Amino acid sequence: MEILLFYSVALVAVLSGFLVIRCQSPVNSALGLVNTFFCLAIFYVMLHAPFMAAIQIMVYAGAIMVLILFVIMLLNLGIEARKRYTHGIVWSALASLMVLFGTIYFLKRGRVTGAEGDLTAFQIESIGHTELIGRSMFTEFLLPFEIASILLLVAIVGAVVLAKKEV
Amino acid sequence: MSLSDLLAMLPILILAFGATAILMAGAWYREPLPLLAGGIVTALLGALSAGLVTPPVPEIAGLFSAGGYARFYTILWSLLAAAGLMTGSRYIIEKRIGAGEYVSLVLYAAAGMALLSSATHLVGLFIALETFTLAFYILIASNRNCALAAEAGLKYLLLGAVATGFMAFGIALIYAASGSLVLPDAVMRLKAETGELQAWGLLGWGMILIAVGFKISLAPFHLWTPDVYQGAPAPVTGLLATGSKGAVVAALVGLLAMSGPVWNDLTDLVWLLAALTMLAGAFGALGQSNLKRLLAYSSVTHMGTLLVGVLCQTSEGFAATTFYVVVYVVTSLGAFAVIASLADGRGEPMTFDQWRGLGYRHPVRCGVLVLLLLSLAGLPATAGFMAKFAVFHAALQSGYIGLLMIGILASVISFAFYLRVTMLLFQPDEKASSWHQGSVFEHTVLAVCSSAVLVLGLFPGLLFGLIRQILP
Amino acid sequence: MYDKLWLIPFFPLVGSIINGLLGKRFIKNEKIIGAIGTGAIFLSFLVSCKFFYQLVNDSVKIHETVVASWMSVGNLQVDWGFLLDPLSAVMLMVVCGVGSLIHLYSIGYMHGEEGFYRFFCYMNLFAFSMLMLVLGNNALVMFVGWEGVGLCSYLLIGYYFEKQSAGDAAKKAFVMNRVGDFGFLLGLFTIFWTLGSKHGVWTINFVEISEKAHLLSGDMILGAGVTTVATLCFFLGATGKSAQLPLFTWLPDAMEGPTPVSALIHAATMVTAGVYMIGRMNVLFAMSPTTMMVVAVVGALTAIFAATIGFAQNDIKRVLAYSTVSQLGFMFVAMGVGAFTAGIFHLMTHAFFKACLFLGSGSVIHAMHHALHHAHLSDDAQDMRNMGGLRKKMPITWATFGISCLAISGLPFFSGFFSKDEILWWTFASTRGSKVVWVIVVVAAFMTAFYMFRCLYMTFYGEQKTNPKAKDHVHESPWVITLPLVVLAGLATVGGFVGIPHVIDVAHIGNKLDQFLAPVFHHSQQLHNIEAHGTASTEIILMIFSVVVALVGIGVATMMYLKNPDMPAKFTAKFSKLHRWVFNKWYVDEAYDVLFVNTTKKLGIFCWRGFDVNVIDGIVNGLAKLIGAISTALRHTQTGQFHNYALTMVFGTVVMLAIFILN
Repeated sequence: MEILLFYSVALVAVLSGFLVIRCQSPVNSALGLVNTFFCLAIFYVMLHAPFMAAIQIMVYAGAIMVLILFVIMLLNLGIEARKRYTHGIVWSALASLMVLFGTIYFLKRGRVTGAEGDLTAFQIESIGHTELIGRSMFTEFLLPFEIASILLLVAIVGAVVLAKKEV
Repeated sequence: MSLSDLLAMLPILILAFGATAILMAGAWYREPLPLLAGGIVTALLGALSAGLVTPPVPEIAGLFSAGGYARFYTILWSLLAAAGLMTGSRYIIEKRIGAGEYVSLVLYAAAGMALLSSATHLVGLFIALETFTLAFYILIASNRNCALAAEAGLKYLLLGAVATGFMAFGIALIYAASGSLVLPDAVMRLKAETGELQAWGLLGWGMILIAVGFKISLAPFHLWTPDVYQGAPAPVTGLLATGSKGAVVAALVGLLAMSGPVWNDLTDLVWLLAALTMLAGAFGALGQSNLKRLLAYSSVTHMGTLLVGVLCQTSEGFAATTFYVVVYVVTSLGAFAVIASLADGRGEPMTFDQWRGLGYRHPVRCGVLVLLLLSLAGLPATAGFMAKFAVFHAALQSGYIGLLMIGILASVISFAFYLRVTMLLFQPDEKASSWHQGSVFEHTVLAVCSSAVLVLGLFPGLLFGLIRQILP
Repeated sequence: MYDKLWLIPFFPLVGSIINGLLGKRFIKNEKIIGAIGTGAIFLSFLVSCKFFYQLVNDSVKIHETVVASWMSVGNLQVDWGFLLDPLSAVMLMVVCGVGSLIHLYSIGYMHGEEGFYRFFCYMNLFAFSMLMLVLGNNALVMFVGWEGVGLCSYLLIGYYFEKQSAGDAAKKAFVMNRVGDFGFLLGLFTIFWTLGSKHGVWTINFVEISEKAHLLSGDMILGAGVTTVATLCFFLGATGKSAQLPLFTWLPDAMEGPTPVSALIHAATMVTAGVYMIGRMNVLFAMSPTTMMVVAVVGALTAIFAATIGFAQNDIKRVLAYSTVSQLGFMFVAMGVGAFTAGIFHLMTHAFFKACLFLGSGSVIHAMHHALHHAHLSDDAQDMRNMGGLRKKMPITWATFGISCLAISGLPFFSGFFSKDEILWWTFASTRGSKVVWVIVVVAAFMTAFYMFRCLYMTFYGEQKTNPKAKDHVHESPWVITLPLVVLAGLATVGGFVGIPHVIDVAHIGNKLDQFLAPVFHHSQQLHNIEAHGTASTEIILMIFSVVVALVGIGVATMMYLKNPDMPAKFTAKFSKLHRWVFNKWYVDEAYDVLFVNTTKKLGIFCWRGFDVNVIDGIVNGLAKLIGAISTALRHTQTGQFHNYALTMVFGTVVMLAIFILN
């Protein structure tokens, strides 16, 4: 049952991903991307990570995509002249499929270690997923968290530098 | 995070906080020169603190090393940031780019590079890599009046995103195979599993190698290099060609030196990459008639040679690679600094037509350029020769004769295009026009780079001794 | 005692830096620039003399000094070290001595040129590199010099950038030298690797390699002896640098450079670096009879081949260039048959007379150029057909040129006689010698005498064929040009007496050069049983024979180029009885012309046009085209479209996966 759900959601995710690059209209592409994000959120739920799923939907599918759609509509981007590179799509699809099958074929030969972390499913249930994420983020991974803040600051600076008018 | 962790991170903290402070100052105070000076002082302070303050702990939060190797590269990248700010000074003033933003981006990038070179954890590795790459996307496109720059920034961003995808996938695979993200640990567990890297881990390393291949432009992942180098402003190209590549190589060397020979299964692949890269760079450069594109291909060849040193996986190979990184950084930075120092209202001199006969108009700087080009070519008695020799020597001792032959062949071919530029500079040409005289900052960078090339060429023992001590 | 050796290359380096940095803006004055350049090399010469004298009186003949440690990579320690032994001492004297004279000459010759400071900067840089090459105590320091002289040669050939041909010539020299350098490096790595990995001796020091070379005797690589493979690679390096078959065609083209450059770099010093290198590694070469044979055969073929081409040239510098190639062939023959001393001896005497010839030709060209310029004519100042009869106008040049021609032809008691004779004797009688090679070399010697006198007669004798307008403006050159000529001519005359062969040594002076060089060469010669054995009478007969051959060559040239033009007319007018005889004589000449001159001319032209231009240039150009084609093909991948780049990345991934799966 779970496997079936996984594969059907995965199929939808891949198809929406394909739509993102194939759609003629940017708005449709953006909607395809929203769809992909939703599929990913479902995966998080299946992995017992409801907080991640919520964040995924709120931040990516919600905030970011709305902004992107906003920009697209503001700029009034029409149908782009995309047809010039149709042969590129064929090649890319071929190459991607080869990478996919190659990877799967190769991975079949090995196996995962099965090593497990310190946290059991029971602990996650009892303490709560959100709290655990918060704890590790502000203890064990505090430094990467802070570095990520630099990363975001750089991104904001970048947005300002690239977008602001000449002063 | 304890106080001793913070103390060990002091250089990074100085760079990051200094960058933030300058960014804030820039919001109210728009004079570029004080901001630049502040940035340079911050970068030098970072280098100084890395050199003088002995870290109380060997590792910071289990993510980054604080050992001699990490400090060595922290110093190098801080100095690089200072040099980048010096060469970029005139550029941002003339193009009216916000000094606060530029300075802070360069300093953030330096912090990211320093973190990357000292990463011992895959999360640390990933996030440090992304930090400085993001800064570079913006720096490349910072001149908004130049369409080429915007195109270059976009290309680097999009392809960089693809590379990031490979990187993340690779890290995930390694985690799945070993159950650990701490690097020596992850590799040890993989080895314990089957005695060698098992399929998942191998694939993970392969994917990481592709991402690395993009960042340091190994063939066939190098195609972006000439376009981006050409489009980006020369001071930024100088940083991009040296720091962003050097830091990745440094991380690779650090990881491999710590975790022992993990690449035995990857040897064939790396061998092929190295050979392909050296030849693609050498042949690619021959047809170029634009100095920046030529230098891009030259950097491709050099990365191939560097990979030979990494491939050896012996302490000698690592020492040679580290030496090579330093030499390459100094030389390449100097070459781009020459271009930057000549730039004026017309832009930068790029095509060979613009360079013809410049040796008579600007003899000193063109002389410096010739010296740097000869060092890149590997003329004996320059630093470039020593670096190549050390790498080839390591390859010989590890028995990579075929690669050695290809390396020599690539060097022989690359001599042709470096000398072509040399000849070009000193061809009498009445039409040769004068370019900018250059600022004091730029001349300082050039003086430092060219003297470093000579000193390292004549007395490489100074640096080799240091490198032997610090290699993990 | 010998720790100040570094001074020798130091002076030219300083001179080069001063002239290079300050010459254009601050010094400007030609006299000062010239004085700095010449003074620098002359100081080196003085220091060299001091060390040479010291070494002659020293009982220990091999001295190494280390100035500084260069690097230690793993178990390899390389120093900035210098090696003074008789071999490098002789080379030092030649390089500094001849170099000083040519620098002095250049002050006059380059007078008024635009890049005067640049010229002296390069020349001093060249002298520095050449001295590093000669003095280096290990292969890396030698390689520093090896690359340095190549670079300077490249820069100086292309000195007249504005001429397309100069640029092409520089390119050609560059490509061919790179092929040679590739060989040199391969040979070096082979020796280094085998000695290190098989015998634990990681070294590139010449003295150590010579001491440990015997360890290599049993080693095989690629189905052949290691020494054979390595020395063949080294020899490839030598053919590039010393312009031997098949990599010789760059040298005649290199004459596009200013004449002092031709004299210093492309006659006296740099091109002999290959010979010197073989001398330096004589222990390795002696271990491989195969390589020695190849060296001798290639040398002999080059000697005769270049000589035939010399027949067909009318450009005075090209004649000398082919003559240089041919004489280098003689030196390689000497190295190949184990006559190392003779090879170095010929290197030395050749430096004297060939430098003198080149400088003489430069003096002529200089005078012609000025005369033609004065008369506003654009005739070729280097074409011998525009010359003739210059003997009266330029007596000093004529005399020195003539003496050098006598020397190169090998007339008794001129320097060339001793060295060439020693080579011929060894080729005939050495255990590594060969009679066939000897025959070839003798024919080449005959041709040498012939075309050198042809050149002499066409330039200095007969009627002046210069355009009448320019005729009277041809004058003797100033003293800075003639002084070096006189000194070199003097050396070309007496320089041979340092190596008097035993059989004619009536005064029992002894073969000084042989004794001096013995510490370098005798060990390997004894070890591998290389010696010339034969009776004294054979040697004397051969000696007389070679002199006769040279005289016949000169005689034929005299008949054809000196006597012929006016002899028939005179005879017909004065002695009508003898008319018939003269007529017959003329027939003989005609027949000779048809049989000999025309055929050899055709052969020469064929060799030059057909082989040199088509085949060799074809190969070189083909190689360049191939590389260009690959480069163009690669450029097509550079579309500028980022999705193509991304696609390439993905394909790269596919290949990676394929490699993984196949493993």
